[in-house]
Amino acid sequence: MRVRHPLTVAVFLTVGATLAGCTAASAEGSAADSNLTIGSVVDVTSWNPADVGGGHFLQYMQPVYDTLLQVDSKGAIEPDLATEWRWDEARTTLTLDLRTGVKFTDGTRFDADAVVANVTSLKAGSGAASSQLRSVKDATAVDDDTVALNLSQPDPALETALTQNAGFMASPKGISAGTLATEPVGTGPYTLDAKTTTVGSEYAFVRNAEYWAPKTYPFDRITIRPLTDDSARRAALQSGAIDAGIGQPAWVKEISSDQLIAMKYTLDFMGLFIDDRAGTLVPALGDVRVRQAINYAFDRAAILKTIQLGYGEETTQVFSKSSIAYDAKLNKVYSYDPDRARKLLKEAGYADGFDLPMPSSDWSAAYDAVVLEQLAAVGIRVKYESIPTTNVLSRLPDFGAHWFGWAMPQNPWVTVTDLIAKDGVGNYQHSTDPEIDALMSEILVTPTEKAGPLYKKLNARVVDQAWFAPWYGVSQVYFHSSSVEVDPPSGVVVPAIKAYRPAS
Amino acid sequence: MLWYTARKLATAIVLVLAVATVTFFMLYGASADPVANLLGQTATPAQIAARRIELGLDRPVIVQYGDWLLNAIQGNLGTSWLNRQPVTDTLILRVPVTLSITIVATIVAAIVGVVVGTMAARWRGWVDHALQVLVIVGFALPAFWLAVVLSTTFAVNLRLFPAIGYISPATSIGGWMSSITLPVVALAAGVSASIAQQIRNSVLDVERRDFVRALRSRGLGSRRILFFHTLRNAAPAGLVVLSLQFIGMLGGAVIIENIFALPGIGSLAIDATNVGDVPVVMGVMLVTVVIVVVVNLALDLIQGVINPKARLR
Repeated sequence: MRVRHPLTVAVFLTVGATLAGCTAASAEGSAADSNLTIGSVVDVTSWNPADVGGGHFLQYMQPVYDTLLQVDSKGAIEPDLATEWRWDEARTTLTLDLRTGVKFTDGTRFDADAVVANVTSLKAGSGAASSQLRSVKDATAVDDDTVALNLSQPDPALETALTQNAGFMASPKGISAGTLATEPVGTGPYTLDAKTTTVGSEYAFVRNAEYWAPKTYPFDRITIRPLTDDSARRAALQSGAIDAGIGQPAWVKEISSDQLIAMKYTLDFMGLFIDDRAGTLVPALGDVRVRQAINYAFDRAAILKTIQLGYGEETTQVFSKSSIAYDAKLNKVYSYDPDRARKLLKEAGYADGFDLPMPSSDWSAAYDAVVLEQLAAVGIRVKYESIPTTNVLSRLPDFGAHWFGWAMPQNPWVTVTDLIAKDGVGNYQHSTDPEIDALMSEILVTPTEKAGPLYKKLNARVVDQAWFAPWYGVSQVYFHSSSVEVDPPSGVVVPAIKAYRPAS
Repeated sequence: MLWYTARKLATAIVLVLAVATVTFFMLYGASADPVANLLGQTATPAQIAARRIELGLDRPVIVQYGDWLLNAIQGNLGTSWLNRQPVTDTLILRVPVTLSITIVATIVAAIVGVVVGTMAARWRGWVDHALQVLVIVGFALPAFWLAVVLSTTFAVNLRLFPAIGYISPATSIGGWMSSITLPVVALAAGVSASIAQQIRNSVLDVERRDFVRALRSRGLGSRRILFFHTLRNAAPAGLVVLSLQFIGMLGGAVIIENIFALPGIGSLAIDATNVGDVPVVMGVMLVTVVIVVVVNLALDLIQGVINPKARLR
């Protein structure tokens, strides 16, 4: 039988592949040999800190770049490249003392001039750092190892920003050569290993032999694999190809806990942005009673249970529970009450309801039906317009309200500048309110440790004016193998690179 | 033959141009302004405006198209709007990955399909019945479902193959084989079934023809008739199916590559489309069209070699 030949070949191929597979699988993803492999839900877009986004992208930057300040697992701000820092009386100048004897991996010295070059570059870039530094006019070198950041107005979020994108320090040589996008050069604990890196598939980092605090980073080699597809990330976690990565709440029940450890932390809130508080696009939304009615219309507990499988915590506020603006009492303001909602709509002159155009996209797909149904129950007729995913952000200003999620950072000023300030990137219709403006001005001149009551008042005003209809804070589920230990992040979507260590 | 090849080539160039043009303007119709999404929800209007100018999006669409076309003809496909990598470099890294799995899957599917199809035609009986069932199952089960099942069984539970990633044959031949085995099986399964069905039907059809009966009556051995006459006559239909399936596999690879996190052009296409990275989408489109054109051209030429009648066209 000659026909059998191909079969024999096929059998050989399979056996060969199986053997090869065994070796390949066993060589990967073990933390025991001092390697750490992390799965990321995004692929890095640029190695230039000035052009990179926040959140998930931070993990790609942290091996290579040190930040001026850093944050510990409890959210306290600690020294990094800056050893000490202080504000002046007016809180418009932040003076930083810099660590001495530090060099970039291209041999350039880290000093005050390097910080000045970085601040200039970060401010001009297209990344998250630029808006984080919007209140910084410029930086000046006081002496070789002291630098002053000069602000146009006080910025209570600046220190936090310097622990993230705005704090990354790249080699001034790389900045002026314009090569950082593909060849990162920092002072960090690792360098990008071009030889074992495959763009789009895995990025490998090897130790920087000259690093000034090597013991903070226990792994000799770190690999980050962009795994944008959920099923690929899950298979990678379960097969041990990666040691850690973000997961879905649904996986917790399906993956046994002796295989992988699931860690939970809250970051984003989800719900409705009621953008058109002036009633320009949808006149009804200009009436505060209508916006309050929308808040009463949602059965937050039911949505949390059915869509989020209970992984989250109900809230009516946009501030993080860990921030000084948070007030537990505010969560009782809008308990589910459709009758009350209908009554408020009637008082506002909308007894027969009104049409509410809203965008519908891949991002909101899972929530569109529940928004439609629960608002319809009180008489608000949602009319969806389908938006391609690529256009969502540019089209949001065309709508009076939209479903969205937004991060709840620990520093409340970040929330204020993003969502509440008139020019905030998440204040899509540039709404203002005299009381809110007054409170913001007052917060700016108040030291953070005394600003708590003011923030709480501001928060209460935003809730009362129903600028948003938040549903719940979402629990992020992060899986890691038992061979590594990870500290949960504080105010960022993924843990910092230094938060990982081999299990003891 | 030369004239025939030249004519085919000219058609191919027109086709590539036409597809490129249509794709370019469709992309603009679908995503008028992807810059806000590229930069994320915390980007300021000033940053968005600056990036638009940097990318040249403030120019008329027709100028942007002309620019792209002129550069593309010179082999410069531009740089990604998302990660600023040259598109040509990215494609050089990624095309071999996709071709690895699609070509190997085609070869596997062809071998399995011809063997099983011939067995079914010659032996009929239970082999044939089993094939009919398998064909229906093969068609009904989508490749991505099979990929997830294979990944869960052989990578996650048995740990025989890596769950994700691609190893270049230049690094390790064994590693390469192990990294493409599951994707290849997922892609080839359905295709093998349809090729087997095609070969079975063709073989049955050819065997009923007069010339086969004549050969048999002249005392030729049945195996000799099968290999030198029946299969040769049944091959053209099988080849057409195979080339169509190969092109189909390029589409299937988009999903398979994502499930196995293979850095091919399929996963690139998804990522680039999701963010509206026009230069990358255009690059992927161009490569895909060229592959399709080359496969069709090769098919025509092979047909000509196997079957002299095809040359007369």
